[in-house]
Amino acid sequence: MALFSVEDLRVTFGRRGRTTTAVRGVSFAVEPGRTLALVGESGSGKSVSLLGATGLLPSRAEVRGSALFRGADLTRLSPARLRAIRGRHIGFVFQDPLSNLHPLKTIGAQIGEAVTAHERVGRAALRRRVLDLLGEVGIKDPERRIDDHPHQFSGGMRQRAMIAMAIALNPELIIADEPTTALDVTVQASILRLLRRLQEAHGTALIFVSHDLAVVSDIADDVVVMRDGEVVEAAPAAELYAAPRHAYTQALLGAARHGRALVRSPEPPESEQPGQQSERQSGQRAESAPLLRASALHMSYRRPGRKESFTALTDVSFDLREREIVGLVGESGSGKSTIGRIVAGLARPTAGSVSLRGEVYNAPGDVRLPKSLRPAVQVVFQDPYGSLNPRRTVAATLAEPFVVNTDLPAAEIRARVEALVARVELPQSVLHRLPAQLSGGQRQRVAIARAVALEPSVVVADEPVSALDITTQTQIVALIRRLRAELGTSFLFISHDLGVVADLCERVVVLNQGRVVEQGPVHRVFDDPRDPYTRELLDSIPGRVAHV
Amino acid sequence: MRRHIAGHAARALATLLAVLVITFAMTRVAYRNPAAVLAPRNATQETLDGITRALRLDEPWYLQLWHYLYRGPDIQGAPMGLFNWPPALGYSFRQQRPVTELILSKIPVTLSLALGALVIWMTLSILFGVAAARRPDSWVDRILSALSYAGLSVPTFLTGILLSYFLYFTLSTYGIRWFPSSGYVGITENPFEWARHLALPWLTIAVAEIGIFQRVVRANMLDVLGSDYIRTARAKGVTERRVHFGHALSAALNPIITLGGLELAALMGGAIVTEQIFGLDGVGRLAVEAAVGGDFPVVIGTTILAAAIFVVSTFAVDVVTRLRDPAAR
Repeated sequence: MALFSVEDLRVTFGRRGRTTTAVRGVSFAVEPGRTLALVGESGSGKSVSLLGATGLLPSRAEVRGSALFRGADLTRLSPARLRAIRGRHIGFVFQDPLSNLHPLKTIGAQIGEAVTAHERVGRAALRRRVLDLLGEVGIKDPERRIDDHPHQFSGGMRQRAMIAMAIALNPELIIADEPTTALDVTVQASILRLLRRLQEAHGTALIFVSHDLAVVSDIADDVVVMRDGEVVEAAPAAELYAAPRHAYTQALLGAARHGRALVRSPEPPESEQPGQQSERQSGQRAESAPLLRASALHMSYRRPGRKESFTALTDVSFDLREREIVGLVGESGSGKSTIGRIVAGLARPTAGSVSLRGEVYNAPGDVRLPKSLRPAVQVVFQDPYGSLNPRRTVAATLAEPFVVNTDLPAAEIRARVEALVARVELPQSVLHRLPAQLSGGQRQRVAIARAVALEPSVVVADEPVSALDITTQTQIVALIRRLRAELGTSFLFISHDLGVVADLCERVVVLNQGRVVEQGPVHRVFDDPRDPYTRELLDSIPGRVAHV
Repeated sequence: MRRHIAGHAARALATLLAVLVITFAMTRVAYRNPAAVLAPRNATQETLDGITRALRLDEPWYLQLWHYLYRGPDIQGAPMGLFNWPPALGYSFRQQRPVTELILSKIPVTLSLALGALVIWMTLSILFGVAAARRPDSWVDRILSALSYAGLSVPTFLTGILLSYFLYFTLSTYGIRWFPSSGYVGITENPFEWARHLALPWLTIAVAEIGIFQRVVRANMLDVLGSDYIRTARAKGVTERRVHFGHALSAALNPIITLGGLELAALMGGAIVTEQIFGLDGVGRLAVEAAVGGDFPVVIGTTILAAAIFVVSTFAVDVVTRLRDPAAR
């Protein structure tokens, strides 16, 4: 008999007339000791269905259907009985371990509470149990770390602490909701190993929610693929990866394979001019003078209240040639975004300089970018929600570069804005909309349109696809490739996603702790990494060896 | 942290000095001839000039300020000079007493009034705010919100008069004399009488403050209750009571502490209306009487006291909120 089975679950939000349905009749089940992966893009209803089944949604959500856990229907239990099951019989691990830990309470107190919520334990005994738990999830030197606050832990350690809370009372089921999405790849790999080890040691059943088929490929026994609040396909993992039946699963799997396998796909024919392609293959461009050159960049910050300054970049040099897309990869904190900000002229380096066509435009002591150069370097940011002014229509946002930098008459600006919208493949109807009325992918297209409005030589794209779904990601990558072909723009493409970089970039610069550890053509670096850090980064990509 | 405190203290002193100079200048403009206040009614011009000279009121304002700060003329044996030890704030012309002594005699009343009201309004605001945030838009929330808007909208003098009408006058017509209408008994004399005499003034202040604080507590609680770590607490099986009071409230408390410190400081500078209604002889009343009667040393003294309390209170709030934040500690 299934340990936990959800049948025909429906979740609606809102009240009286204005409701949205997030989950429409979802069923799945997990057997004791097995692992079920719930996969789908954001908004597919995978988290909502689990939170709804366990009573963790806010009260404005209405949950129907049934969620049987060891024979009891969780959707009908009283709040008190449901509370007695959560934590004791079902443990939870959530996505972002920083926002999921109480900022003012110590790690030890928060783990201890998972025990004291269900058992009466003496103070000394509790401390011993928490220390054991911290040891079990691989926190080094638990005695010293138990009284730390969450901000003193790294992302990976926080997620280990979350896992310690989930396993505190040895529950029969652990629900892990995107537990590795907020983490760097190397950390992600270690957290996945930890979850698998704990599961084997305790015989726990696991429901693993992810947007990424590749991540779950290593651990899932069964896979349920969701889309728009419905299950599109459910199958044992081996079957699903070998022969996906539903077209959507095939697309997801294709996207995962495409990115993860690190094999360059042939460029779509319409996006490259023939001459250019041959030029690239012959390697002629290697000899031409670089368009943009960053030489020996150093960056250090003085932190308030501390004596020693923090060094973000040490001796970073690289070139960007005409019509080239260079990837800047590294984990969070490696200095990628700092480089992007310096290249875009938004920050001054402590030492070193950046030059465009031989002319230095950003060096220590410069107060602002020369006005003539400002349109030449543009930026696209990661979060299309935060980087567009929520009170300006798309038309107003896109007109601004022309208004600020040119003397064009209003009619001409309007014509150019319309052309821009067409160029990034958006319908003209978006012009009068506000960012809130657009999807994430549409917003990122607007942000890209704004960046290429004045046909800049260089666009710095700082994690432009990281906040997007995998299908939208593929579309935006294709758009960047096409814009490069049409406008001849060079891109500095900052990403932590090696798959996307392998797919899009000609050359790649690998950063670790503010230093360039390796740079070169993507093929060379990814197929034959010379630096141990690059190798580690590549090995951490999930699903690289297994099914995908 | 230590450097932060030092910087804060320096800014605080600069603020106080600025307040002092501005108040001093304003009293020079507002009150023409203090000698006339001090002199007997039938004094001759000669006597007036004598007093003016003795008080050195004929000197330029900056010298007068200097005397005020450092070694001014003694008046009837009371020294002057804020920078002397013990600091002296001058001499009240009307009450014929040193200002320092005068203020110190009023502080117990004002302090009792402000602190007692603080305890009542904070306790009730937190209870009402948490109760409202538990189920937003429920009938509990609606009733509590309506009550706090009412408390906020009714002016203090009306609250005071209504409370004293119903809880003093009406009750006493039935022979129940729980609350006196006015007066003050020191806490050291008789703690019970102290509380009994202050009960109505405390309630008067609390009604207005609850109107603000219940809303602030509710809004901050709702904000925090939507955060991920509250869901984590629920996922651990923590009881709702602990979720609200143990997890959410501790995270929602900072803005409430900040606002509470400011309101407390404002009250300690003198709860003028409340003191007036209930015949409490506190700092507020002293300040009003001095301002009306042209007793400018008292005006300056009470203003500096209020400013100093404000500065100390914002400083205390800053230290407390920093100590509560493990990342800033």
